[in-house]
Amino acid sequence: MDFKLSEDHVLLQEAYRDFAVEQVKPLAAEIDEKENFPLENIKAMGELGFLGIPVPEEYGGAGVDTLSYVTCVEELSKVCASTGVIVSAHTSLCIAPILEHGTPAQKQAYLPKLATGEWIGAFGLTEPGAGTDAAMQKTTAEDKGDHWLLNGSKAFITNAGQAHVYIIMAMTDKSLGTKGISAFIVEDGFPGFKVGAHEKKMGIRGSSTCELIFENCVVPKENLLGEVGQGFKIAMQTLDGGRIGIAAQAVGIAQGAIDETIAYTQQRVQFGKRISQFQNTQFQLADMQTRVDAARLLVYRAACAKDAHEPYTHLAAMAKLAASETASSVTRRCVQLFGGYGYSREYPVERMMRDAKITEIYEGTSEVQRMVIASWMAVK
Amino acid sequence: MKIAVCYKYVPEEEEIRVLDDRTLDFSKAQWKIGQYDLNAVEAGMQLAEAAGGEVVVLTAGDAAVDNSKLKKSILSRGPSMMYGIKDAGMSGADSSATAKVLKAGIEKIGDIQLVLCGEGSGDIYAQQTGVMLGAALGWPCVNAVSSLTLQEGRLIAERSLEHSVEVLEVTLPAVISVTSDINIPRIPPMRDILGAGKKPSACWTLDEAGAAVENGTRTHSILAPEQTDRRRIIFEDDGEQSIHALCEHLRKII
Repeated sequence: MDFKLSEDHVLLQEAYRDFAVEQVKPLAAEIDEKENFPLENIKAMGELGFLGIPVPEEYGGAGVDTLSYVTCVEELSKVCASTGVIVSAHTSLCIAPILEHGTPAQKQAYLPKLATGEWIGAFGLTEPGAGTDAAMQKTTAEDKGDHWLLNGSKAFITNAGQAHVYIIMAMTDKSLGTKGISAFIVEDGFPGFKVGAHEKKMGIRGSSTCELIFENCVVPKENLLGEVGQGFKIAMQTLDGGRIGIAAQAVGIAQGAIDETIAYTQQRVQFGKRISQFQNTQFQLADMQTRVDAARLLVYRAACAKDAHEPYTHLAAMAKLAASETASSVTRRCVQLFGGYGYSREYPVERMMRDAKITEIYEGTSEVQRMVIASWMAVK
Repeated sequence: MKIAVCYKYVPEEEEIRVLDDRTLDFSKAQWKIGQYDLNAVEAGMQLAEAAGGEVVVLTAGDAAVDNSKLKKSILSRGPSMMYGIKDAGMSGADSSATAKVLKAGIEKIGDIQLVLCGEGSGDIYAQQTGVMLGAALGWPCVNAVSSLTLQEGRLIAERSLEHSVEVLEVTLPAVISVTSDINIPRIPPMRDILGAGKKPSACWTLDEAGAAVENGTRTHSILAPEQTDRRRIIFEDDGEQSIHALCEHLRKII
């Protein structure tokens, strides 16, 4: 067992960190405040290769592993959770299913543009009536001979409105239940495809979250992803990978909050002492760092298992459960250590606390993660 | 044009600990490339990209010289080859000794028209090595350069001085030390990081480079300044009396 990142992992991590600190951090408060999608930084990340980390070189990507991708999302999320989730949704939820299930023509058509950030990717499974109960899909796809016709809507779609390509789940045969769901690659601009209302959110406000509307949306035959009826399986597999990305985002948020809190408590003087000198501060920070390190190891373990093509569904669920609950707890405690200033937008920890909460909800709530873990444990 | 950029491995500042007796503990500090040297590498890359040519890098030091991660790190920033001169004695080398060792390296590499250095090292920041290297090579040398372009085979170097900007035309070969104002070093793209390990490098001993470490100075001790608490003497308003009191106070303590 080796807990060390390889030399290349460390060098890549340093590049992610330099970019995050130099270019993402200065904008983080503003994109949160104004709900601005950070397009300039997305372009810069595309040029550096951050948007095509798992994409093989033949398709214009960096062709590196999940572990490196995880450190990227983590470093970005330390300073800006919005940027972290934009990269995570793009990579885990759009690139990954095309890589895994796409035909050579689909890979050729989409991966080079996604890997360079020329196009942004998104994923649509959730519907107004199908959240945790994802099988209750109302969106339908009808075989019209030479094309598919999609009708319905999707809710809470990350990167919606900014994305050029969406992986969309739709019912092709209601009588078959989950086996009647299929996956499609839908491009922005397909006839009948519309981006609906923009969600006003508590956190990750720099990321775009909207509903999607399909009104007789015409999807070419060749844009079916995988086989007819495989959509639910593709969605669940995609979410297994996505959970590792969100877990990395949560670890990043928590570590970012701790880093800010250490710096603050070392300069804030109360009762004639720096508050970092009080044992309460030291013990709190020690507890928080221990929890974050434990969560990080779970995330890296899940990433390594995925890279080794081992079963990792339960490992991803554990990583996300531990990391997201750690992020919520740690950021709340960091705000407390900042006192009144922590509640103010003058410092970033209130944003981090708002950002942390979503990690317990999206890509499977903590309750879903517990279901997955208990099922793996065969507890009935 | 072949450009050589000299750089130094320095300890990560944040990991240096000041002990109770004010001595410095480097045992937990990892090595990194001096931050000003990254400006020199970037300046070299920009010149080569604009005017054509090749950038190589040269360092002299002890154990860190052939550290594989550090080697990849410098090569990921664009240079085509890394040269190192490794000797245990380099850890105590002063600016003059370092300049002489680097001179031997530049001559051994051969065919170099321009040498770029950072304004100072990231640790000692004596700002001597660049100019001493120029003197040792017998080449024109200019320091404090904040802008550098190549026009018809001549260098145009701008020096930002206190009240003016000096523009100099420099013939080649030359040694130029650049300030951190000259550019913002690029973040290497992932493909360059991943490809850095495939680039060539050479590591020489002092003998192979035809050099020796000959210090002209001796270090007696290095101690951190004593920590004193801030006095927190505050003159609140801007009235005559307070200004007078402030001046009086300053006179007393100076």
